[in-house]
Amino acid sequence: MTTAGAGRVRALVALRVAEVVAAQRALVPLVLFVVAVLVLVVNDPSPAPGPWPVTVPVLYAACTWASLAATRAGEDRTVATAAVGGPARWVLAAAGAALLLEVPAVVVGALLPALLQPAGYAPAVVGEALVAHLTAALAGTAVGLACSRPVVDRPGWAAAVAGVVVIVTATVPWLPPVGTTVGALDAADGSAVDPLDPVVAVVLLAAATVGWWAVARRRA
Amino acid sequence: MRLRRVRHRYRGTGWVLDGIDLRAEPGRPVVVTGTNGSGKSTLLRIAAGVLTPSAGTVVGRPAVTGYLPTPFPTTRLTTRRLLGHLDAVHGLPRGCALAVLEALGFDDDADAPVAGLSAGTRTKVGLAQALAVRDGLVVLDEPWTALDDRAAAGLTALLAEPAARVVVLADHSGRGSALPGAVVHRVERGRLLPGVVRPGRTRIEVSCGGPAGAVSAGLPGAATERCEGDVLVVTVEAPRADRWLAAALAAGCSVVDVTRLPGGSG
Repeated sequence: MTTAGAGRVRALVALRVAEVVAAQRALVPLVLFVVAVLVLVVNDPSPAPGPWPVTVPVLYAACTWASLAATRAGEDRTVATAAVGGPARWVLAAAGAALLLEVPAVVVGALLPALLQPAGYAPAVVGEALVAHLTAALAGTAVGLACSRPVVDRPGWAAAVAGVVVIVTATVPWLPPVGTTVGALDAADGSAVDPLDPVVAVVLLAAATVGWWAVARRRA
Repeated sequence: MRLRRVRHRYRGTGWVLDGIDLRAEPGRPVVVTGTNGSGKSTLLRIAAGVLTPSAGTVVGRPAVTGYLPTPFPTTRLTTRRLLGHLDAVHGLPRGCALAVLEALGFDDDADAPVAGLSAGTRTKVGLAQALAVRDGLVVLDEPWTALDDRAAAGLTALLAEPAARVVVLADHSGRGSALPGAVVHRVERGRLLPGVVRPGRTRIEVSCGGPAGAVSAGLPGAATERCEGDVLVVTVEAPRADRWLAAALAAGCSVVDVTRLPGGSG
């Protein structure tokens, strides 16, 4: 992609963020997630891993919901697709915008428990929590994108498919990237989060992006 | 830009487009006509790069495309913010689309959400973001639909301006085929056929200063709408209007009103 092309994709990321913020619907799961973290931390300011075995799968679900809603929000996709230079650039911008909107939730989920714990958490543990929440956000965005229109046209089916995928992949402890991450955080022996998990999440997001493009280019 | 042997079908349908060859160049707006569901909008989406054809190729598409779908969608963003963002996505300086919007006679609040605008005003917003592209491809789906007379005239004037852009549009109103250099096509059963252009007509009302029936007998042929007292109202094909008016004036009539009626194509 040329420099001018990259600049136009960045401009579309800004448009997508503005659309989602203006429409507000996609922000609901992220706001609910922050409220859930606050409730968990205030009620139980326990030592590490604290609420993370709960906040990571909840963030995974919230990011799936948010990216599903974000791809549907606002201005018609066709206008921006033509303006930016095709569906490949549009989906890059849509994924980028969804991730940008999810960053505050990642930070809140990973840092708030450490900040509110009187004894504090070790920096390495907090870093691991950041990686775990980022993995959940990347994987949730991938699932949301893979279940969004036009891959899954009907919103009811999209929600059902995404819900089943999230529940299964977050609860099977050997299934990367979210299942293994939650399993590691929840382990009594203090296992470390596998550094390959975020890599797997990035690969999943890339695969969802390419898959979305392959479908959308034939079904505007 | 050229479309070569373009075919397209959606999941569960037959061929919507079946072997389209189309050439578009600056100064020769391509006007596509056809019945509802004939595939015009699909052809426009392929031309705009929104849709990839099932078969065939599109070559030479300009780097920047302005596209107006019908209807132009709603958004909670304000007109000013939406157009500013779309200018940036097009790679244009901010403010280009707002300037076009003013030329189209936009008189609503630019700081109010687009979702609150009427369909016609929303079309103006959509046209503004597309026509801000002066050096690229502009694809417009039924651009005159829902526009008031002033905006429609403004749009015709903007499209008639010499510009470096390539224009492809679908049109039912007949205004597109009257654009300078227009190349008219008709989509029928998935194929592109040469369009038939019917020239526009002119409605003329004159006061004859005497019995209109007697005066009209000495004038060139025209379709009479009204002939009462000294008032004569006729419609003639636009290219013959000047000759008819000259004859009426020579016969002692005075002109009360002259209105250009759009032509048609199919």
